[in-house]
Amino acid sequence: MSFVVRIDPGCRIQQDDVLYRLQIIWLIIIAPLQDLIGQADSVILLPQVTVVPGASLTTSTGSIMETRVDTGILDQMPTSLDQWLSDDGLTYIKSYGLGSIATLSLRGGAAQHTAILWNGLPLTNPMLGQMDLSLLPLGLTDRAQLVKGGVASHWGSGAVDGAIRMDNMIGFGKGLKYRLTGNLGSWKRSEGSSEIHWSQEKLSTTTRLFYRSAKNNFKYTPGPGLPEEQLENAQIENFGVLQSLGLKFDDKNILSAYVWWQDSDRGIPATLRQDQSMATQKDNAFRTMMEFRSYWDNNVSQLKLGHFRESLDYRDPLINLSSRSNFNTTLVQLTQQFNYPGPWQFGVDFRFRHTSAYIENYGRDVNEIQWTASGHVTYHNENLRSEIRARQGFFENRIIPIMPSLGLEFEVNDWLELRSRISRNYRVPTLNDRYWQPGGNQDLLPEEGWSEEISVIMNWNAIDMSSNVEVSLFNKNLENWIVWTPITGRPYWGASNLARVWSRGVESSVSFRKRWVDLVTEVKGNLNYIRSTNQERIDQPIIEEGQRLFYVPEWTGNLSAKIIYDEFEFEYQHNWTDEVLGINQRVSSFQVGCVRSGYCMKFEDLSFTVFGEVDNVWNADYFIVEGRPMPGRNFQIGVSIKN
Amino acid sequence: MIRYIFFLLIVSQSFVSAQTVADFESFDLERDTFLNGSEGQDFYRSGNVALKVDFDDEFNLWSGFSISTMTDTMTPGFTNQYSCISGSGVNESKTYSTAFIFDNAILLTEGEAAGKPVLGCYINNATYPYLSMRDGDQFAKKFGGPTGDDPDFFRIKIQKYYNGRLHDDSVVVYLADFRFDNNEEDFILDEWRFVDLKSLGPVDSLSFTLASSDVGAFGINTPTYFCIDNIITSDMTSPVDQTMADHLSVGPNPFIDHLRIEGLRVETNYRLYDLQGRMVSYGTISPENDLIFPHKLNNGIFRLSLENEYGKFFYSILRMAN
Repeated sequence: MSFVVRIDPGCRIQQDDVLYRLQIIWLIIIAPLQDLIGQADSVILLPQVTVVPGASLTTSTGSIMETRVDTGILDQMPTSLDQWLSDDGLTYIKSYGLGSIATLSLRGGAAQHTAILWNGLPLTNPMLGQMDLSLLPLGLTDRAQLVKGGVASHWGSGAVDGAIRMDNMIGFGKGLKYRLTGNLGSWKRSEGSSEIHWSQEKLSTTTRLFYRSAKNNFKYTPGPGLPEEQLENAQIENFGVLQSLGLKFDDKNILSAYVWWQDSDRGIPATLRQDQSMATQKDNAFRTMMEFRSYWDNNVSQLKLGHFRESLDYRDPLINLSSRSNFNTTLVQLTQQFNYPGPWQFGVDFRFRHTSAYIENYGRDVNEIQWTASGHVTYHNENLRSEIRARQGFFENRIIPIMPSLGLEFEVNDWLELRSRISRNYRVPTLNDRYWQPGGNQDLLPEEGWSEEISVIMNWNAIDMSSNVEVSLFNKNLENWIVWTPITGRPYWGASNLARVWSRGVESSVSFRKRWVDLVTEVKGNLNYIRSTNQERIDQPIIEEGQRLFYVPEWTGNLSAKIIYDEFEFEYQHNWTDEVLGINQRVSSFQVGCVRSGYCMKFEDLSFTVFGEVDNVWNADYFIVEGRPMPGRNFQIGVSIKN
Repeated sequence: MIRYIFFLLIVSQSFVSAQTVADFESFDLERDTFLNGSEGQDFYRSGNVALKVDFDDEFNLWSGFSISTMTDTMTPGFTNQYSCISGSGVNESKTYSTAFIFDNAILLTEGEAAGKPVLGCYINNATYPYLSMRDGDQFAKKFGGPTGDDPDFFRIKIQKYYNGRLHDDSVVVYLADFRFDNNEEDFILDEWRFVDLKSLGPVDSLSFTLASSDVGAFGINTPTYFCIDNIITSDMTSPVDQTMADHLSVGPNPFIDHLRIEGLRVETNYRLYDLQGRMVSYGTISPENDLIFPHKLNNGIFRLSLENEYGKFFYSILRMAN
């Protein structure tokens, strides 16, 4: 059987030292591997650990993964997906400002090249092929995971450079649990979230609420020697609720259901290139899904049904513009995994996706069907795990070339592990690419290409110390990259498969953790070099052969230091991002520091946490996107109560 | 009658030198309306020019020259793409033309102005680029930048096609210019400005292209629109033919029932047009037979075209009978 392990939420894990260390080791080393391997027969049941049905059977052997688990005091602070990825320096986040649209570039790709998954179902907007990460509060989910590398053979279209998984989990037999978090910050930022969980042996229910608002009217300096200005029309207001239900018919048959409604309303502030903006954007999403999982003999069957209804309403009264788009997605996933005793395992899955979308520029309702089927074989022994997988996809009666992958993981010794992965990946053109009038091209081919990577992972663990070093080298070539260019003889631009992109680079990370009696110190750092270049010259947009992609920095780095003393945590994070090529101008490199601190008090079963954060502690003037100023030094303080 | 005489006074300086003004008023559009080619036109004709318009039926998109009577000088953005920043044509006339340039825009000379110099035209900013340059928008910058010191510009380059070739000679018109050392001299054009095009000489057509200092990877960020009105074409002969024209004499003027063309050296074809461009009489004359007897003409101004191996010559004449 396949399980994922979830640590009980708590401001600090209450065990003696040995168990505490065991759990830390579990978190750092075993849990990711457990998820990676996904084998029920290797689950270790630690005290205070609740075993719950996993959200996905899909593994990605050979990939590097980063998992966020909220076990520390500072992890209680509310955050969105983009903030987590940005603060921890895991990848480059292209943020248009505080609370504004945020997308990511993973391993030199575009935002469309990373799949965003909720409980294994793709969240990506089918019209744009990407997702605004600022709309994904982590407080509504139990676990977030970043998977780096080509994993299209696992998750289908769009997972060219990796995937982000946000998973909810259903726990049973935990009684009543609750958590309330609230915080206030600069520029009238207020944020609150709650989680109420009740479960017995057969039934489980969890209700999560989320609210965030801010005016974000911070002052900024538009340029050297210029007087400060105040950002206007940058307000945000988000509200969301996610209801989970779990029903355990018996130990082998579990049904779970989720309903996620979210509404976001925000202003689009003026860029530095304009005097004012009155534009607003409303995003609304209503997502439902159901999962039935059945364990029989050594096999697991899983059926997922999902239906998403989302809309985006953009208005700019200044220019009399109102644009509304909406889409509905229906998803079916059927997965069967055969876990025979011995080293071999097999699995198949089938995925169906129907999308209907409407926007005025399509001129009609657009319906699209995609379906894929995949199979995989894994072999594992004491030191080696290997996986061969292939996915065959179809969209709109067209065959997508078969997408194979091979992943290897080899434990050389107790402290050294090698991982390698080669895969073919693809991205189906978005609905806008195909149906936007004018310029949409229904004859577009999927973007596709090969990626290769090799990683070296070193772990040293002792009673009071642990350290980890990871170095990954990757290479990726993507053909048929979709570009919008002017169409000869027509007064508009159109989509075509013009570009070829070559991405390559090195990603490295180091962490060191040491315990000094009651004091724990932790230092982490990562440094990435990624070069992503166009291999074809294009007249317009003006792209030279060998030119770097827009908004892909070559160098990024992150360094953090944390001390934990008794119930007190303090952390400093420092991020550095190289300059990037913008559409109109280069965007300078920048460095941003962040300080966080928290203290937890215990009252019998109740824990009360106070936390605070100073972002951009050095008050740097910086931009991530040209013309979009980022905030200077800002503060937030909050409390969290839970049992 | 008085206006005919007044007209004669104007043209009597030289019968071979005449001007036609394309002012687009003949389209007789209602206020706050426009024509953008959606009615199937390839050209909009006024005076002796034809302005090219392209309309894509599939997507309802246009480029080239539109005919507009839009008056909105306040609304920014492309939803107000046909308006002129002055809210009217030259001298507050109702109708003007707004051009949207995707690549270039073409203006043809035709009729009696074909192959002749274009004397000039009036140019102004459309509301969309004017407000974009003044205030900035989501794609285009506010001219001058945050300090006002950025040396921005937005300009039209007018070149001629003649004898099938695009000539390098050009006339450049600045729709906005922030390159002055003294920022107070910076301007964004908001009134009709006369542009002298005589220096281009004889033209078959004019090509209009736009350039801006605000350029990104996707090309010009400034909205590529401008407005044009009162295009003055010359119907005079070219200097090479002037010697021949000087030997010719057309009279009497005003005439009643016949015209005499004196000074003819060779056989010559003649055509007589009314002011609506309709040919009302034609034929051949020679040194031996130099009389023209047009039939059933109303009183009014007519255009006489003479064409022989020396060239093509135009005259304005007045018929005035009891």
